[in-house]
Amino acid sequence: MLRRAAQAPRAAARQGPAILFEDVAKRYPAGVEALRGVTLRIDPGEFVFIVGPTGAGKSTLLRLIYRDEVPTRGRVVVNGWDTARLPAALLPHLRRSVGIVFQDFKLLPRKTVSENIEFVLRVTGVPREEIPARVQVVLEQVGLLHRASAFPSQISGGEQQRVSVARALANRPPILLADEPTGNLDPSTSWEIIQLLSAINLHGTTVVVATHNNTLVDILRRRVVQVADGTVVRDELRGLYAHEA
Amino acid sequence: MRVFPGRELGHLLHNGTYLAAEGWTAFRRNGLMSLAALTTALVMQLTLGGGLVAFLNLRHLTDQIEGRVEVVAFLRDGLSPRARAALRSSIAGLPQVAEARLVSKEVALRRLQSAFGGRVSFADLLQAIPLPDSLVFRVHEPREVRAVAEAVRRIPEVEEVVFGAQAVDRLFALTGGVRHIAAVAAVVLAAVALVVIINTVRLTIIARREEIEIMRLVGATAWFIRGPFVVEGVVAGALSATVAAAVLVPVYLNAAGRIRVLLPFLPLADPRAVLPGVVVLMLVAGVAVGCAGGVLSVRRFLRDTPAA
Repeated sequence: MLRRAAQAPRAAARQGPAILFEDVAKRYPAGVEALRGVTLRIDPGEFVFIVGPTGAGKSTLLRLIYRDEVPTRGRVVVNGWDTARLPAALLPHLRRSVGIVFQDFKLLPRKTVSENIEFVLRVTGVPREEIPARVQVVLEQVGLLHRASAFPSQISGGEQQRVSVARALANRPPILLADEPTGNLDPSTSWEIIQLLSAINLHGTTVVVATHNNTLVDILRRRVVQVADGTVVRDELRGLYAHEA
Repeated sequence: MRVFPGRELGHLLHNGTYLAAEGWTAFRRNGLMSLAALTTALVMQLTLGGGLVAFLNLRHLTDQIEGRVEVVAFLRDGLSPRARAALRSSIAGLPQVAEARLVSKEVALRRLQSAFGGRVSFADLLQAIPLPDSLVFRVHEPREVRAVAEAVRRIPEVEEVVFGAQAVDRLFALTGGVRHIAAVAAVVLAAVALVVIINTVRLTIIARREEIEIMRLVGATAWFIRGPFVVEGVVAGALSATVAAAVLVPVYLNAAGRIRVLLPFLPLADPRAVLPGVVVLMLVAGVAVGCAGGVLSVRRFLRDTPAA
């Protein structure tokens, strides 16, 4: 599905880890301890599954990466930026360096497919003349050029998710996060999405996928980080969803 | 990734037309809610414009009256012609006085009749004219009017002295209360208009809360999100000002025309001098209130978003 004419992500030859967690703990104001000491290092170009049951801390982990939250203890470093120390003015820049794909797609309902992608390009100040071409490129990458003028409500769930991926890619971010990207999709569409993410990773983007879809994890056999009860209990390359006994 | 902080403003300007178009589209799509904001703003604008026009006319009137260096001293009845002549020359002899002349009651009656443009007949009054004889004199300097008028009033043959500034004082005393009420009302209306615009835009935002959240997640800065809403407020403000002006101008011109016919001696300000300034002020007020409304309404929802 991913055409050859792909873009290389920016800062591909970056020194240092893409994502770094140093003994990170996160306690929410209500007293819930979502993470209790996580140390994790993800290098540029890796493909990582974050697995674990609901409530184990997967979403919190991701939220710490795109700085929807800051750690209550420890450090989270993304693309060289310490998220807790990041000046407010630079937050949009961090967000732009991390493409995010959500379970519920989160497309702007009042905009067409191409306008949704155009939006993120405008937000980052891409010159007006370049935008149509860039939109076309990412839509081709996900195979949805023919849906450019459709509204989200007019396309299927799988297509919406692909638009979501295209949008996440538009700014060529070094990191792509996916929080339960297949949660709302049927098995065959889920497989297509994961294949898409895998292909994107082949071109150099660091991809982190939080999921509880064991089938997909088992088929791909990539690095698996298992989170349980707020800590990392397993971290193995070419892993399976469940620990092999 | 390198970051150039100064770039943000550049992006904003560069995207200005895009954000403006978004704001206009949003305004159009809001339908009823925009109408509510518009109507309130319209009422405020009409009051502002109407009040301003009335104020300017009042000021013109008082300037005209005050500027008159003419003083009228009404004489007691029953003075002999010689007494009247002596009075005239003594007043004319005062150093501050430029000239003085007597005006008999007959002449006064005729003047009154012509002031009313012949609409009213005074024929039945000619037998026993209820008007007093008067002595009209002019002073050299307007600021000397009060002093001279006071001095003349003390002369026993003089019953009453009337001059421009005095009339103005009386007018202001009468209208003082009205003007204060009007000022307070204007401020209250402006506040109401602001609140309505804020709430209208806020309702829009609540409906679009998820959109704003998504915008934040993909890295939009506060101004990028805020831009279209500010434009929406400005459009509402400018539109209400324009409609209000379109109503006010013909109404005022019509009313001024009628007043000139009914009360010909009342000096009205020249509409060509008054109206342009008032219309401009209405537009500025509308845009300012709309802009403020747009910014303030989004504030709560963008608390955690950096403005860059």
